[in-house]
Amino acid sequence: MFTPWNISCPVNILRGQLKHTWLENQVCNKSTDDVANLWRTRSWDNVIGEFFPYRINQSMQLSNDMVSGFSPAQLVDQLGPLQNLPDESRSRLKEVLHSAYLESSGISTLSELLSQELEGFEQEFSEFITVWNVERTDENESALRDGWNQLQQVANSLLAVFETLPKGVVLP
Amino acid sequence: MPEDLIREGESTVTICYYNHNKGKPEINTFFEKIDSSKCISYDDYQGSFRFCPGDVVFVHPGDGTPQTGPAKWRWVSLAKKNKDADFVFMSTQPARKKAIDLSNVHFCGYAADRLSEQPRVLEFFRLLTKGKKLWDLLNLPPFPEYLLAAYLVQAAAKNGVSVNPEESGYANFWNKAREEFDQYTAQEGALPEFTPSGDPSKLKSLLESIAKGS
Repeated sequence: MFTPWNISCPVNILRGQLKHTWLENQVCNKSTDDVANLWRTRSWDNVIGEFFPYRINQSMQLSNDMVSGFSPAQLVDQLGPLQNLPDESRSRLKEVLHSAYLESSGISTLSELLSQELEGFEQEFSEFITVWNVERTDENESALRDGWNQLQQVANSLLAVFETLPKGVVLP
Repeated sequence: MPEDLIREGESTVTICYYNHNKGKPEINTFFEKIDSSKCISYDDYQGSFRFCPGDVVFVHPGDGTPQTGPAKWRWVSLAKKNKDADFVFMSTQPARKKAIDLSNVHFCGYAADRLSEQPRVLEFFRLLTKGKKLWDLLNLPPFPEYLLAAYLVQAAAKNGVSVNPEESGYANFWNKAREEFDQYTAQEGALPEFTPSGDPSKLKSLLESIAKGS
């Protein structure tokens, strides 16, 4: 994909937060020992109960918004040299640039792929929550560790899709 | 704001970071670019360190979770105590800047990926070594606007939609695109075509080349 300068757009900020702050630094970098300790001390109850679901929802929002969010059509409104164009010309320009981008970028396919990976992650996470919200015993810890290993596997797969997403506005 | 925020020929740059960010790729990227003897750990800061007028401090607080927020950021009190230094607050969340109403705190937003992949951030560091004034850095256009606009116009024409900014009040649009070309590159050989119906692939190659070099 053609993304010179990784021109900033709101959907890219969301992508970066989800990849960096959540997936890389909260999920994929946690060992089973780390998570078992957090489980025992209950210091991650809010994170698992509220923050992870919040991030999953944000990720779904990203998969819904990314096709329009990375479109070069937005540059027609942002670039100074194009701001004096008549409304009709701007509208036609946006439309043709968006179509060319859809055709050349493969962004719709990426959006679908992200959506599929998210479904898999959400499913695995819903199972993980059941082993999280149990009594803190040695016996239950074993199930927790297995659950985290499973979740991390799908998280790594999800992260791999994030790695393929554009990092700025995509030009046709 | 002092007239010369970055002393010509030398820059004092200090990085504040929280200890738990050590080892994170983006922090290591900072250290690769900056003399690490000029870096301090915020967690080690005991309140007695004072910055000098003209210092530029890049802050990557790594505050992370939504439970923290500007009210709890210790570096903000640092900025309040050191009004003669300028703090460039680097964050993935632009809305947080609104909570900090200090004239010596400037915002540099970036997508939360490795800083080695963020041209605008690296541009800060590159230009710091040339002694540019801080506000010049902050107002840098991240990309050549006319060249980019020219590319979009040509791409549209290739796909059957013709628009020409010169017919809408931008009388020198293509000349300005050519000027940007001259400014950004000493490219020899086949030139891009600075006309509405020019081949966009030539401008595309140029844009890629400029972006890679920035």
